[in-house]
Amino acid sequence: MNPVVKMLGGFILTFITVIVLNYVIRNNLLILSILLICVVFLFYIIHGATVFWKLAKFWLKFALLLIGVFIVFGYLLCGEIETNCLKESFLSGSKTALILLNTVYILELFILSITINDILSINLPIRYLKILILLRTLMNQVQSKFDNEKILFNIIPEFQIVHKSKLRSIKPLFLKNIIYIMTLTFFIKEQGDILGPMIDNRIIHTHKTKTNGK
Amino acid sequence: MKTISLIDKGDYQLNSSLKVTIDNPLKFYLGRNYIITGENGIGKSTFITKLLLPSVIENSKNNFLIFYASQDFTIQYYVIKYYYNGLLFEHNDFSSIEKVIDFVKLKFVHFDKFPNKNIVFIVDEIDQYLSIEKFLYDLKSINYTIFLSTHNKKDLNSNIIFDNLVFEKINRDESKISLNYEPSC
Repeated sequence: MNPVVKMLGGFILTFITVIVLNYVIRNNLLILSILLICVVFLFYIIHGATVFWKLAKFWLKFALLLIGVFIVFGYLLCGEIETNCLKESFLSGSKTALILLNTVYILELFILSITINDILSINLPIRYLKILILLRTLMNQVQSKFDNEKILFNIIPEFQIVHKSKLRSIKPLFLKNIIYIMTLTFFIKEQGDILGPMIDNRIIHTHKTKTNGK
Repeated sequence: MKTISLIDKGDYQLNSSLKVTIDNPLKFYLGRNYIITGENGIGKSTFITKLLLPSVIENSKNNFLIFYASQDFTIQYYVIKYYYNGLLFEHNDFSSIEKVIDFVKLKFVHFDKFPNKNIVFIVDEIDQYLSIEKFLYDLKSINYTIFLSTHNKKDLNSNIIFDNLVFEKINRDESKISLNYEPSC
């Protein structure tokens, strides 16, 4: 398939789906559930079990947390435990969680379908192309290096004690998630600072070699 | 002696292009030391992440702590840097990978919340960052087991006796692993 058609078509399709998801069918629990089943099935077929479970483990926690928050706020706003009110909160939370999961999987389907070769084959000016190359390279690095977070955290003894303990206290778990987000953020920033000039240097070198060759 | 890892005999597909064959079960014990040798690209690092580490983690419950330093220390470097200096507001010198590995090793050695003081070190070619002799030097005060993956077994000047986990190439996509116990152990 032509890479321009693939990327543009993929982008438009993703954009429309996300808009429909968030504005048209957002209140229909049944359609949201069916859509999630279809998207998840498609993702599983295309990217395999490993990538699927990695993503699922990460986002399911957020989805469950979201439902929990809705129930807590529902309880607080109702003033007392009313079955209908709690049920309503649970349904609202479930819909929001389904919208979140659908959006994540649809966006991932689009992003993961774009390869470096697709980006290179579109005739964008080099100043824009290098940004796309940098973003895709960073994404590849993050995917490969953050492959197994449990193994990575074997480098800090406090986290291992928490991991071994039956009674897991909240503070170390909170710290663990904070450090995970910080590492991810600063890794992308610092690697971007290193990779950016490297890509610039290669462009300059290629340009000079081409000019001298002529 | 406590077992820290048992990997059954068999064929293991470590990734799409690498298969390893283990003819005899690999049984690793707490208190013994192992050196992992074999040529470049034979699957030592993949074996560590895919088979050895998960098996050691499974057996670690309350018996020992695990220190794992991968060949590419980048992410671990960021985790250590932003945890200790960023979140705990310490002022440690993390200007080189050597200093970071040395720092975190001492954190494990002097970690007082774990009474057993048993630590399993799994270090994958850290000799590119610091000398192995220097790494082993501070470990006398604790009970430890070390898995040391290296290319330069001959250059290792240490009194420690290592059992040798040998990787041999069968063909381009296949390797064989065997464990040779040191007779003096």
